[in-house]
Amino acid sequence: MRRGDLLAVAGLCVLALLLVGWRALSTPDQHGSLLPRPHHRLELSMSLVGVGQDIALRAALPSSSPRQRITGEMVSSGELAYSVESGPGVRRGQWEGRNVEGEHHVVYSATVRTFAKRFELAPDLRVPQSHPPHLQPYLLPGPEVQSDAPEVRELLRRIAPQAGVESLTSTLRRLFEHTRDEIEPAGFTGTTDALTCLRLGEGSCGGKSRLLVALSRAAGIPSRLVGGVILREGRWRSTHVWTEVWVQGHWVPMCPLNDHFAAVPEDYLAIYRGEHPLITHSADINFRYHFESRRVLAPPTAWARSARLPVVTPLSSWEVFERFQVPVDLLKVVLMLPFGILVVVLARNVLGIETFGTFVPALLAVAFGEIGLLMGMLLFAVIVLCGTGVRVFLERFHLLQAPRLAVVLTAVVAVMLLIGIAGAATGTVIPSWISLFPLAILTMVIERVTVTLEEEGAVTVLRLAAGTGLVVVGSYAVMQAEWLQLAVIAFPELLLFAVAGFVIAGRWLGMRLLEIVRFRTVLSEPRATT
Amino acid sequence: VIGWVRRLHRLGEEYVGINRRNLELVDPLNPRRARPLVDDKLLCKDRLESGGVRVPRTVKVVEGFGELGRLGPALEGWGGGFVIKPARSSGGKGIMVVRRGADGVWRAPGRGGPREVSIEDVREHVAQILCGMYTTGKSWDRAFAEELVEPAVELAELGTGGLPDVRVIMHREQPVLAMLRVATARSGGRANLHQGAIGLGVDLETGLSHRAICRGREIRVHPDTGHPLLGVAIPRWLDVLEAATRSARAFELGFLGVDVVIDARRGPLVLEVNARPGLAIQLANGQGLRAALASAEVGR
Repeated sequence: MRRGDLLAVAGLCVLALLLVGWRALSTPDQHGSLLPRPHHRLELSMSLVGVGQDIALRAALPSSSPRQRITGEMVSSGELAYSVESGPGVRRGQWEGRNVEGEHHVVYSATVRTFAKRFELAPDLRVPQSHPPHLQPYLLPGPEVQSDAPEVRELLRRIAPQAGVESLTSTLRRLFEHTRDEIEPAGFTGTTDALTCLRLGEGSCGGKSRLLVALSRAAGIPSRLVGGVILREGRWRSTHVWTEVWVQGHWVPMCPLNDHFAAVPEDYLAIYRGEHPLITHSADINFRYHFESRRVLAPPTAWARSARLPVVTPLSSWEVFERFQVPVDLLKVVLMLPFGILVVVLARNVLGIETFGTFVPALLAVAFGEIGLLMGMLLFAVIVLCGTGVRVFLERFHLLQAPRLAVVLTAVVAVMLLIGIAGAATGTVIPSWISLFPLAILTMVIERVTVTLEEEGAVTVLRLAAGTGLVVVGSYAVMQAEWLQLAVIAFPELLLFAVAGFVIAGRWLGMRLLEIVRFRTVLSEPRATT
Repeated sequence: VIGWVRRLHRLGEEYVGINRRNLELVDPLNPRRARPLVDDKLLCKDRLESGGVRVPRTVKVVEGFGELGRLGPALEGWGGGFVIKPARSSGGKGIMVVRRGADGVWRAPGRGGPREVSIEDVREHVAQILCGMYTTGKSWDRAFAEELVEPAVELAELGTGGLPDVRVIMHREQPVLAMLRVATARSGGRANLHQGAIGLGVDLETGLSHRAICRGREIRVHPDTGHPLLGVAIPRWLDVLEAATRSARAFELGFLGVDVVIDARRGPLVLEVNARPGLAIQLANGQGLRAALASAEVGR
């Protein structure tokens, strides 16, 4: 590298750092207004089979609150009529149909962003003597939270004899620790009420939480049940219940099962408050449901809420993207591509790995973004194999190049369609994922495989395929790195680092790694006399 | 470990990799405007001839599909063996060799032995060339038929078929490294090193081979024929160097590889000129290009 190149590289890096620093320091970072956040795309899928009867189905739906944000709700109801009803503590989606025949699917989905929340309870808080009227319901016994039962009162006296005298925080701590430690965790399904839980000495999240509610109410602390799910990647069916107690004007969360005192972790999504079923449905409809979720990037909540800031400033790239409605998924591809290509360039010019086509690996890595690396590679290999088979078969018809490519492309379309149908039938592949495969690139790769096969043999083809696969993996890993996506979408000037990388690669005079391997025989020889 | 670091360092000091070749030799010494003249084999031959360099005779040039019909009569009229080449392909892609047997039948050598070819086969191959099948990054090309050179007998007996040629690397009109390339059964009659052909390092002073490699390994005899490979004398060596030097003068290129074949009757003929010559020649000679350039500089 010459001095001028070093200066250029240093200049690019410094410029990028300055821009990032200036913007980071001059933008007030409220609720992460600069960085995009990982959200969950949550889906509740329900299916039922009707035999001509009237059917009703209700599911509690999550609502936005200060610690969770629900956007982009979508409902697919098929032939069933959909409506929403709101009651105290719950919002319900309702699906109804008359004389329903056959299998029906209902899907509710929403983009969900949750925050962890933690309260610091001052040690000297007192249990108030009286509560305003709107809190009275949260002090009364209920059928599942028998706060007036003698056994509950007896237990309260035993574990918190000073209740009412000692501080609110100490009493809450005692009640929490009892339900956390003295009740054995059990994998019950269905509802366990507070008294049953107390008598059995064991309970699941529901039993422990109801007992905590009952004990709190008995101690004169307003409390209620919260129902929801714990968000995760993939599919699941289990739901979760925890508790909220009223302290100084705040509903403070408590989860005795997973040991969260005055705190709620980020992955808890609250769906209803009080004693409600998550889902109810008519009988005998072979009802099935599951939750499914995957992490997605979404704009920072501050900008997602509204376009309140009317002027485009250079401070937040998010604001600019929001105003011009550039979708996050597109940003992820467009802004990450240079970094994927950086991997390709380094693999080529520094490592010396040969591939099919210069930028093909980066473009494939983009195409594999939705479908996943392993499945993507597998399907790609299948398509290229089939295409090459067709291409070799076509030799006997002696077609000219462009029409021949067109035949191969048509064959590729057919193979992709077949894979899509087979994938959908077996539930392994979603057809729309395959349609993202770049058709023209596939066709050109097939053409190149065939010509290379003909001119240089199968060994070369395998070598190029291995090189291509390797670079795809590297490119994919970089482009899918969430921290890098977050950083680049918030600070697109980081692309200057990629440019600096290109300059370095472009002025790299050293031997490529594989060239050293190729020249290794000279390495071990005595010095040539010159 | 230190020994290996030192060896790696020496490798970098004496040998040239692709990156250094492109940045320090090709880019500064070969102006872009001069490259099309060598990248197109037909333009290259014209330029060589006007520079006083002898080249294989061109039998017929096909510029478009309309001329396909005249290909047959031209080839029949030629009588001898011929080679079909795309004008702008690289790496020997799209080359079809056709020999005419004593029975008058055309045969093309290949991996699975010679196969008979008809004028239709040749026409189809030419049509694929015209469509740009072998020309990277272009959608069309010209094709031409060239006389099939019969190599000097000293070289022909070395290997199994194929056309042995001498690659001379020229730097500022000075030869710096030379290599004789000989086909093997494995390379299918091709003289490309990465396809399994043998490279013989040739001493510039004497024209004698002093080292031979095949697939990156040093060898002493031809794997197919058992012919010794060290001390092979290139016939008419001074004429070979003369042809290479004249070729370098014919172009505005400071760094190039000249491919010379030695025809049994006509002597050295220049097949083509390469503005980005490959680097395996260093392996064949056991000498790096940087070291060779340095000693050429001293000799100047």
